[in-house]
Amino acid sequence: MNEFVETLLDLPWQVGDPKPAYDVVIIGAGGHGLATAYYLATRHGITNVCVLDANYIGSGNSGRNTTIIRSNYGIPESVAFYQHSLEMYQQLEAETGSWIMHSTKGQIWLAHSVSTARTERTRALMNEACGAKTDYIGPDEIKRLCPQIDLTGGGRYPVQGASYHHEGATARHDRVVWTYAQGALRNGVHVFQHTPVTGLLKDGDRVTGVQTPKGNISAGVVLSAVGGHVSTVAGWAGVRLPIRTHALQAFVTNAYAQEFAPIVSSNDLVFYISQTPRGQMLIGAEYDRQASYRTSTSYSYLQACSAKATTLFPFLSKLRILRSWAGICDVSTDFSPILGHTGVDGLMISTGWGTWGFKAIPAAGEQLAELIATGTPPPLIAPFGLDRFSKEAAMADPSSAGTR
Amino acid sequence: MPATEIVPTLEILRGWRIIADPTALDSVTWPVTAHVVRISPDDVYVIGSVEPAVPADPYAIITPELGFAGVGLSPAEVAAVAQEHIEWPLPFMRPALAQGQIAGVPAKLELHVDGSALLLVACAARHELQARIARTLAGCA
Amino acid sequence: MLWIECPNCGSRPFEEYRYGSVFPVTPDSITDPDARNIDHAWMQDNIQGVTQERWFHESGCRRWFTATRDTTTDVFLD
Repeated sequence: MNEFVETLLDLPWQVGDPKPAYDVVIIGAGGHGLATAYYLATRHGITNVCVLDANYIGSGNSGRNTTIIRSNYGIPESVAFYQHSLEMYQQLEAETGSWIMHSTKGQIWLAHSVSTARTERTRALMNEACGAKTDYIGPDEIKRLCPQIDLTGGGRYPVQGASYHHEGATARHDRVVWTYAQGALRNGVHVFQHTPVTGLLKDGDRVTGVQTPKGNISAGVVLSAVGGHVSTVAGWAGVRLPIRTHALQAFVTNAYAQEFAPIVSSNDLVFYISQTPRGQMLIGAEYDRQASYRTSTSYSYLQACSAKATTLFPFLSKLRILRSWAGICDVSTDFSPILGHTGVDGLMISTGWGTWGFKAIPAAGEQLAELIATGTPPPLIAPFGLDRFSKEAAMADPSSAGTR
Repeated sequence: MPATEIVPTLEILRGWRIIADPTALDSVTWPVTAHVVRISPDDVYVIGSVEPAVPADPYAIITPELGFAGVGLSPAEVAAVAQEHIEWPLPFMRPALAQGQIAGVPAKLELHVDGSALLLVACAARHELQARIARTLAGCA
Repeated sequence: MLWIECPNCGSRPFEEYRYGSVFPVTPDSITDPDARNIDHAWMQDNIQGVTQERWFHESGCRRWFTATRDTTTDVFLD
């Protein structure tokens, strides 16, 4: 046993089956679903809530991400939302008394060409204006922050500069899920694992509950916090989504001395790297171009990504790939999340989390809880409703996803 | 002597590119000096200086093509390049045209009956491919 | 390694190809012209299972073709 194995985790599970009715039923017990339940209970006193998961808690994309927390997005609405989430992450350990292994590392977003240097300068200025601490830094400062980098980029990708996002951070993904599960359960929320939702109950046009193998459960509000299968869930209610699901593959190497401080992303090479508390180098890149629900990794991806990573960080060639996985990213057509009403009474949604879901868990949970409690979208998430597409108000932000 | 100097280099080739009806292309009598590479049923790359004609297709598009570089490889060089830089199995039959990535660069390998081959690559990538296979070819010299 | 059948070049490694797109289909149940335009511009079928889609043999003959693929396994069919 070591500190990465949760030995003191206290999850007060309910026994037996779900009740026949709840005020709120949440589909998907990942970070987003559990955080929403937690904030419904703690902020709004709504505890007659049930969270269902087809598998175990955090078994979907909450267990398949790369744990990066940052707010250096490309449009003001996104920066405000993610900065709020980043600040909530900073306070989460104090609020819950639970250790999520939060670590502020700073994120360096590298530019290797004149055009991407311009992109990063713009990002730094825009982020500063919107409240996310970001500076444009030159090669000397990059080398000081990250001595392992080859500033010549193997002769082909010379480092021109970078935007440096001071508050970029990481946290342990499992512990975030467990923290919210624990907080929700202690406040009386019901969480049922291995309880897949197989359909929606409807009364006319209104969604009134969910079907499960353990029986039908009626609900005042059904929230889909599903990752990866959201188009299916929405389809049950006749809702079409601007979502295409892609796999994003990532891997860790064996351990390296604890010397790699920041999170480093590269605009031109399209990969990112950080060091886990265990010392493993965690590397991810762009999601697979083809739409896919596959959660296994491919040799060609690992090969291509390793080639990119070793170009910039030659020390990596001495390491070995230890584990690899793929998360399935629901990428919205404008690269921003979709939160709130679906146009069908009784059904709300939290999706479009693409490659940016983990960092949004606290804010999305808090804001959705407020929406469910009050019925009105709070200002922070009001721009991210599904109806934005029919209002010609899409929140296009393709350059900030760390992918292309 | 540096390795690159004894390596045969990828030279830009003068030729013609034809897009035309596949059956019309099948019936063409090519200039005797021309070397013909059938990229796809309706797409032909003709190496040579004499302009070819496609009488059976009045809408054939025939343009000068200076976008390819090529180099002839000996049977030993083909084997060495395949061993080091080709991740797919070479076609069993000869002659054959294989189109795909060689050393990670999009390229074409025309394999001849005698075991030799013509390696073709887009001009823009010729220095890159040259650099990637230089050591392998030098080992064959 | 995943192999894809190109109509021209035969079975070739996955990395030589580029994904184009699925064929977008706006359901007949959407009748309002504006709603159809919005659906066509933004919405996705996002099929979990067998799809028909366009692929491009980028590193080979550089021809587009239609392929049938299972999105849950990435396996190419027929």
